[in-house]
Parts: sequence; structure tokens; C-alpha cells
Amino acid sequence: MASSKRDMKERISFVRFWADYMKKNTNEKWSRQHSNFINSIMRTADRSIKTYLKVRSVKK
Amino acid sequence: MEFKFSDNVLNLKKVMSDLDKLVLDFIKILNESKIKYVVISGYVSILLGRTRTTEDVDMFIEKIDFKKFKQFFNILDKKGYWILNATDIEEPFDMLNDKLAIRIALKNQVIPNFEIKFPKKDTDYDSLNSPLKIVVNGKTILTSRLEMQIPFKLWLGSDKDIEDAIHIYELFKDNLDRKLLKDTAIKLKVVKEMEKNGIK
Repeated sequence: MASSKRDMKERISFVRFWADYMKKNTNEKWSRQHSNFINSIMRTADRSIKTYLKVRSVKK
Repeated sequence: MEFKFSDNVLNLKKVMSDLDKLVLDFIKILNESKIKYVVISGYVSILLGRTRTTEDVDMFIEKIDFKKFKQFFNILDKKGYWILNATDIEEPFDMLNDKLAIRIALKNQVIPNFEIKFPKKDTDYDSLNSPLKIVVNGKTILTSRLEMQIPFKLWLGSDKDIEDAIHIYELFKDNLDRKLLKDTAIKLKVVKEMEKNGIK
């Protein structure tokens, strides 16, 4: 099996695993992990965009 | 996972992410402007727990005239938002009418942004006119029906979209309207993709 197909198969297995985990656990348990994950990505993106805008304004 | 799903209403309580809060704030502006909307695509699966994020939240809004758009534009400005891909008030309105998307974000930010379009295809109108009401911690977000969302994601066809479709299906497979799911799959010509991904 080509590696990209294998990667996709593995990712889909994880998607199913996570959905099953959500179903078997309380909303508090899965959604706290989920919101921490989303918030951390958003904070990183926010820092990156602010740095980009700062660098751009210095270059101008 | 605790939720109630009946009569096209999905009710759940969860720890909300900053993205959820941002979406709810934006929806408040749409409601204040009396603009009918529906959230579609990636954010729907993220709202329902998918472990990824997105740079844009896709939405359809009903077709509105320039007077109403101007009101919306003014409220957006007052509440601290800007339109990324337009320079004045006429341009974004023309873009919407040309079936293009406008992107709205908080001032001094680019992502995440709200990608807004007028509906174009029959399925776009179906999503807008018969939405699913997702009530999170007592607050309402109108999204496309999951039975339309799943085939639509398979129709888009990227790895990320297929994963979104599987996530939603795995969570809510016991609550879906099978006929609507099948009819939408036929309409979008993704019956084989559904079978391939174990979506029945």
C-alpha cells in the first residue's frame, strides 16, 4: 500500500477512535481536551499573524 | 457524550472553545441585522468535536438588498470587524451578487475569518431554508443538516473533508434521517464514496 494511502487509513482510524472516545465519555471530559486544543492553535495563529503584521509595518 | 437530538434540534452542553465564542458573537450580529444564515462545512464538524481547526467559518446568508447590507456593514464596523477582501461598502455587496465570497474578521486580525456567500445551488438553498438548530449551552447556531453535510463533505473530497464526514457520521449515525442522507448523496453523486467510507 502506498504511504499516503496508509497515512489516510491511519488518520481515519484515529477519527473513528476519537468519535468513539467522545461517545463513551462525558461532554466535560472530551470537550475540555477539545477546547484546550483549539484554543492553543488559535493563540499560536494569533501570535504568528501579529508578528507578520509587525514585521510588515517595519519593512514599510 | 450526552446530547438530545430530536425534531431537527441538537442540544448539548460542552466546554466552549474560543472559536465557538467567536462564532456566537458573529451570529449575534447576524441576528441583530435580521439576516437569515446557515453555517456550513468545516466549522460544523469542529463544533461537534472534530480535532482540527480552520482559518475560516463558511456561511450562506439570504440574499439581501443594499440597504440591509449597509446596516449590516455599519454594525460590523461598530462591533470591531472588517472585510478583508474589499475596500469600500459597494465592493463586498457587488462581490456577493457576483456569487463571490466576502471575508470578515475582527479588526487587526485575518484569521479566523467568516467566509460569507449568497446561496447559488439548490442544495445551498436547502441548507439555508431547512437548517439544523444546534443549541450549545443554551445558545443557538443554525447549521446545515448533518444528512446534507456528510455527502457534501464527501463531494468536496479532500482528506480533511472525508475525515469530517466520517466524524459526524460516527457520532450521530443512530440519529440520522437515512432517506435525506441517501437522497442528498444521489443528488451530489457520491453514493460510491459513501459506501467506500462505510456510511450507510
